[in-house]
Amino acid sequence: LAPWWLPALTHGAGTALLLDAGRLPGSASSGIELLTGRLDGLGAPWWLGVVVPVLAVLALVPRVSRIPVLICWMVAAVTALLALVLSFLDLGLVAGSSPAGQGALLVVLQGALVVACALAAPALAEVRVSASRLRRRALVGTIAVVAATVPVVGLGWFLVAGQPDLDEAGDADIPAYMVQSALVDPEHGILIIRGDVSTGLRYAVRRDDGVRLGEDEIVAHSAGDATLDDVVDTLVSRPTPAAVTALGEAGIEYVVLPSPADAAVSAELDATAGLVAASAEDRQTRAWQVDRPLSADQITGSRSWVRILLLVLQFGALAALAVLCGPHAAQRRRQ
Amino acid sequence: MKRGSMAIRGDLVLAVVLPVVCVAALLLTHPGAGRTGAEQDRAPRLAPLVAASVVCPSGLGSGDRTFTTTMSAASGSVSAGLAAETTPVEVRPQRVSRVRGGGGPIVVSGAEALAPGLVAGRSTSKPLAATDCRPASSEQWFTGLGSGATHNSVIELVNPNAGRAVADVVLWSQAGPLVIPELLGLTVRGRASTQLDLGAIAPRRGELTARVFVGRGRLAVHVADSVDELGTGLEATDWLAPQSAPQRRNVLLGLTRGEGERLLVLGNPGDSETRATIRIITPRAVFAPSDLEPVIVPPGSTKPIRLNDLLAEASDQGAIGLVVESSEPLTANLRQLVGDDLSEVAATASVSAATAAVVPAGKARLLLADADGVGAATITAYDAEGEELTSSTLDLIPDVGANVGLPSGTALVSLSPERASVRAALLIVDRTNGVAVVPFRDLEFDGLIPDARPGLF
Repeated sequence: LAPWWLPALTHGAGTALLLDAGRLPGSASSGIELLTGRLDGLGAPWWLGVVVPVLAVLALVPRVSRIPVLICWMVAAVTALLALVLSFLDLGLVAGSSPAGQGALLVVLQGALVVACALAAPALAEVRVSASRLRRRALVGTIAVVAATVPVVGLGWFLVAGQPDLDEAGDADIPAYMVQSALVDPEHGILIIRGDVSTGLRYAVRRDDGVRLGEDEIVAHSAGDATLDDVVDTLVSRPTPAAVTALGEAGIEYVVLPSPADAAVSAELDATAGLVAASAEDRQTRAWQVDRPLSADQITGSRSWVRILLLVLQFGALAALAVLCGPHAAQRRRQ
Repeated sequence: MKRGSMAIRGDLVLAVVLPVVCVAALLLTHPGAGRTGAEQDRAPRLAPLVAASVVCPSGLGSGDRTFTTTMSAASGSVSAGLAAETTPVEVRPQRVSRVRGGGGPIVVSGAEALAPGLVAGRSTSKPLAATDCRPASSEQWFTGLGSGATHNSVIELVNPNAGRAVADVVLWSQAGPLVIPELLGLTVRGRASTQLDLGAIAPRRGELTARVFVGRGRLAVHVADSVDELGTGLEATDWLAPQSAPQRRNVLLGLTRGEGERLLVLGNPGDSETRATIRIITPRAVFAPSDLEPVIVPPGSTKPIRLNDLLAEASDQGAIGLVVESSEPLTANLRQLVGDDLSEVAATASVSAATAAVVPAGKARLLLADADGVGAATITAYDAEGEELTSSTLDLIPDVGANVGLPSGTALVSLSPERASVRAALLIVDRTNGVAVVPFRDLEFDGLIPDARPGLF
């Protein structure tokens, strides 16, 4: 992981190591949600998640398996303490801030509790050796049913009530023809401005097919473009033809105010020379086309040779490992 | 045996302690515990305007004059005109400068230091009519419009900006809302204007209320209202001022003296019937006439109320205006046809900061009413060269009006309320040519600059 972690540290983006993968800012959950296996309201109903911690507590009862179960609980306690410490962190990003990621902690916590249950289950079945075979079978059956209930009902919820789609639909706010235009060349960027004047505006530029998985953290820890910041500031407050020309030079073809578009900003943009009203499916979404020459000159990024070197080293190391893992000549000779 | 029991006690203790520690730590974990709150303050900030324009409507008759000035401390050149042909006009603080731009609409634009506090006014001497030149906006309401043979209105849409503007004009007649396809989706090119003659587009008798909503861009909207008394040869025209939105308290300032017709028109665009009470404002008090019952205004309609005798008598006794209060928001306008002159009195907006108006030739008076608290207002009159003629400070008291005479030769009057907002209008009287009323509005000095930052989406 050095090709990713080391450049993150050298670029001052060490906080990225504390974030979950995916869209930022990440979600934040209460401790109770973590205990019941839910992340920021996502997941099966809470009462289903209570089963695992309750079984994990019951797993402490059989004396035979108590020591391994205690080790599991030790892992869970350390994870809980870590979740508590991380909940006080607020990690600064290029836009706003994000709480530290809790996804890994949730998995470790639930995993520890599930392992505790699994370790105790055979022992629980042998609690009363004197019991008849039938009663022991009934006990083991009950434990198996309860243990299976959580994943089965959880899976059922995922398929019925949850969101079974694994792919992500395109941004409904952006007209499809703009997205298609953005795919053609990098200078056909789309400037998306959300929010309103009273509570503040946020903007982002979409190029190609948008931010891909894994790029969120990079975008969130990149330095802002001061020139574009100034252009957008002018555009949303006192738009001038010069600001529109600068948009073209920055490789932006469309400006979109997704629904509900702020009336004050859209009226200013309507009145500006060089911006031609563009159509959008939703009447509440406002869009303009930049009627100025587009340029890709400003869309450049620096190449990190250190990272390339680290990637080469990593692949070299992987190759070496593969060779070392293979059966070597001495073994073959012995055979 | 003893060691065994100790071991059992040790794991029992851990069996209790570890779940307790785990649950306690999780109970103490709250989402957003580390949030600093720095993100909360994202309110827009005020900054002086760097570009502003006010729009004067087309002239109405002979003696057409347009003047402009600045209430900022800067001197320099503003541009006047529409489309490509603009002319520079030199302005100095408080000195009114004549703008020459033909009979069509004129856009006066100031940039940088001359953008804040831009003032302009247009007037005609025969018939006497005057209007304030206003900035373009997205929504305006007009009440008491006509589209008949004897009473007709022409709506003028002026687009002072480069981009296209699209507007919808929705009308409410005395019978209910009117959907006129010709008045929907009106497109006005950049730096162009268009006129809508309601009599030609939607001919009908009775009073109308209009909402001009600009969905794309911004437009300055003016209405020229005219009365043509068939048979008598009387033709009178005046500008009809807008209001920004229906309101529960409409104050109309600018009653004229003499016998004639007075028609108060109320517009109720809402879905509920409302009861409106009408009271009369004098410089000493606000009172409800004993013989005037509250008026019921049906939903989605326009209601005319004839007040000929009541207002003739009240104005002779010094009344300066009306206040119309209702449980639902209404729009209001008073049409006065006294002598051969038409004067329109629209609902006046509250003024809370220093403002000013260009004063046309004639005997001018400043009418004040409906202060929202106890305060003071400084009234300063300037001549055409910007020299101060008089300056006086009035006490503002709720429910007490004021009628202040301005010295002869006043070309500009400034009003600076302190500690309270007040409604004000300029009343200009010319013995031969009639009366004109110009409501005051807050001048634009600052603009809102939104907090714009990069986002992650």
